Amino acid sequence: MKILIVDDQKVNRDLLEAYLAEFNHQVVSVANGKEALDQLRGQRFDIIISDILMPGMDGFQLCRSVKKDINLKVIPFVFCTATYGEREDEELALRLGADKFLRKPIDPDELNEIIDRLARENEERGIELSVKEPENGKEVFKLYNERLIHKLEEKVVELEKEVAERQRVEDELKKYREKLSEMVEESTVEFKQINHRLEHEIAERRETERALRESEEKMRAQYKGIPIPTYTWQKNGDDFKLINYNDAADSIVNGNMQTFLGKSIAEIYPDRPEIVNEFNECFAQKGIIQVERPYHYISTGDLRHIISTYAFVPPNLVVVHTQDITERKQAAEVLKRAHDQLETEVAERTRQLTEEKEKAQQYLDIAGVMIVVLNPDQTAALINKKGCEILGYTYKEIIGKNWFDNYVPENIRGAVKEAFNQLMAGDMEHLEYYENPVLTRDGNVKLIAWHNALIKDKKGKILRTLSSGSDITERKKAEEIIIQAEKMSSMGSLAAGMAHEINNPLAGILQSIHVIQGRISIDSPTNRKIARECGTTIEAVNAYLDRRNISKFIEGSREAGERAAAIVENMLSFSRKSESTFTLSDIGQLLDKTVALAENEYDLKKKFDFRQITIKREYARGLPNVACETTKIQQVFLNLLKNAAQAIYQAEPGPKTGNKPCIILRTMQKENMVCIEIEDNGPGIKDNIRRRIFEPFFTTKSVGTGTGLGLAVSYFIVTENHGGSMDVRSTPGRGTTFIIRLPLEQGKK
Amino acid sequence: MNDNPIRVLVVDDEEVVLDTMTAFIEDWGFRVFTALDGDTGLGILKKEQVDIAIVDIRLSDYDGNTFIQKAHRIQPGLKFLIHTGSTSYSIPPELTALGIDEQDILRKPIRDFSALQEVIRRKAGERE
Repeated sequence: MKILIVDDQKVNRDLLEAYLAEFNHQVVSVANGKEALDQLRGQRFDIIISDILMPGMDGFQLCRSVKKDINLKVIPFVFCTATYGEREDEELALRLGADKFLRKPIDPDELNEIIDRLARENEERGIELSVKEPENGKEVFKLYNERLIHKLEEKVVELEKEVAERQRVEDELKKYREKLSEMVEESTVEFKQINHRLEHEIAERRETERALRESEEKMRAQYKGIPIPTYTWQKNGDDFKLINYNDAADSIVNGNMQTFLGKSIAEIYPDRPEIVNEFNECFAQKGIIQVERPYHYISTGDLRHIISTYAFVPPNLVVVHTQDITERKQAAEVLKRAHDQLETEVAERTRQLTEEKEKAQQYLDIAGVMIVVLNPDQTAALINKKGCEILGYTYKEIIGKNWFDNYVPENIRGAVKEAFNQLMAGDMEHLEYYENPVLTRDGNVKLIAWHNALIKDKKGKILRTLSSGSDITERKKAEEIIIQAEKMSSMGSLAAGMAHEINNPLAGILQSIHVIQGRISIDSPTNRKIARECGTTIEAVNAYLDRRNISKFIEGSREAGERAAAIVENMLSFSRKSESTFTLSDIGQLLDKTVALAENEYDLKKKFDFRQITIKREYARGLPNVACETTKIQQVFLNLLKNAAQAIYQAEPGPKTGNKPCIILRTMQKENMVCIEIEDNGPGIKDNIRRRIFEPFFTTKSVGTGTGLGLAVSYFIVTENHGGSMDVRSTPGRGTTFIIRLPLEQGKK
Repeated sequence: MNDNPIRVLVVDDEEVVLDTMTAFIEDWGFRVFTALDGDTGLGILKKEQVDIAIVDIRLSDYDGNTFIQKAHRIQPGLKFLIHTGSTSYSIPPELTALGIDEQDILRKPIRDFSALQEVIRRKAGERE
């Protein structure tokens, strides 16, 4: 179809043209009504599409004109407007005869459809029926004018708005311009600053570049000048090639490094694959590795010890430093040997010292005395094995503890501490030798004789005390025993001496009495004769003596004298060795005989019945017979049994055998001695009495009962007659045990 | 009374002993000479024939052993009895050589006088 487009805007014309060309329509476009009419008169068109608002002749006018033209009125007239879009406009358009009123924007398809439809309809209608007559008349004109005015008014308003808007915009624009110029000014300042900065930066950068260049130069120089052979290798596939080296490297090979430049490892070290591995490892780790090896310098043929340090330098370099440590290694060897030797010597010396120390410790420990070192604060610094033994504590338990508070009995602690203080102050004179008891772990007390010394430093300042102490407990006990024995011995001698002294006057008394009795006897002729010569008879003399009881008194005197003599005889009898006879006796039997004697003995003064005492026998089997004076030994046994019985009955019964009175008799062999024990469960003997119990005339019995000689005599029988020993053990409240030891044979000691 | 009484010398430093010994011995019918010390005793021996000497070991001037030896030189046939209060006295070898033994020791105080008489008689009767 041929289509005429009428629009004053080129852009609209083009647009429509484009739309319609799509549908293969022929299109002619004009800018106003007048031109449109021209075109219409010139050629045939199928459809007219027109805008409304156009200069000169507007769309409405055109439509009227077209529709008034007889030839043209059949052509479908389509309005296409953007501006006259209101309902009144459409109404006017249609009243003017338009076929269609379209508002922009138009959909091209829609437009095409409308056009097709209109064309079709037109064809169908035919020329006769043609389109409705346009309205003429004033109404239409009025409407037209109305619309025009309306539009104009609208336009004016629009224009006014626009003007106002434009003014506003201009104002704003002015403002903006002002602002802009401000901003521009600012910006300009900023720009100036930035510019300045940039210039500064550029200057800096130039400077940096210069410095870098300088630095590079220096580095290069350094690299060259490093006294350590340095080689720079660049990664080249799996291998590396030498790209640089320094003077130090060159000098090693006497200036021949040049030949290796640009070569790869494989080329330089064909038979040493481990080298390239090292490179690659360094590269892989991106770090530093060090390898030590013996190395043959290729060019010079020397064998040296080298440490190679590989350093990764990004992006693809490995820098190698080598250090010739041949001398160092040798020196190290020498040093090691010297060191080893030194170590050996030190070990030897240490061993010697340890030995000496051990020896010293041994000496300390085999010493039979205890050795104690005390610090000024009274704590123990050192003690030897003997010391530990004596005290009953371990080394660890003793060291560090206060010596006096722990190991010296309380009652003398103060005095001993004082002595220590004096010693530490330097008073050696009086305190070089000192005795004090110590407390053992199990609560015993041992007497120690100390020899004290002071440990001083080089300047003579006193540091500690060093004391060696002997355990003299036993010795002291033995001394006491000896003193006791001596005392007893001297007392015995005294007693014997006294007895001897008594014997003489006693002899005088008894003999005198004998003579008296003899010379008043009627049996003597001499008496008769002398009596007659005196003018009396011997009978008369006797009669007088009898009536005056003189005979009785004489006899009484004799009896008293006899008794005294018996006592002395008793005491002295055991010392007459010449009268003794020794026979081999069964001790057990002897004991039993004595028990029988005790049971049968009838003592007027007795306050006990021996038969009520339980006798326990613990006789050793196979005990050899002992050479002894049986009578005397029996005397001893009897004496002990009687003492035991008296003790039991005089006090509360002891606890040993359920409080029943009991005497235990034991015999046993100890080396070449026979040991006899007589134990009772009586009240026991207190220590102060026990010490004196063998003393002659010492008795605990009341006056008149006993002579106090029994134990003394027994003691002498055992010790002097038989060369044995006699001892007593007792715990007050727990009973008493007398112990007699007799040698098996006499004459052997 | 014997015609030939046994002649006894008693040497003792205690008078009471001398007196009482004299008394017994006389009552037994023996002849008694007494000396308070060794010298006196030796003096008597030089003048008188004595059968038996009863000598106390403890004398003021000599000890008994020495006296006996001297006495023996004066009268070799003299018999000796030693009368002593000492409990530990035993015959020294020089006296054993003279035929004196343990049996000849009389311990003071003598209580069995009849025995003493027997001893004196026996001893004195042992004439060589």
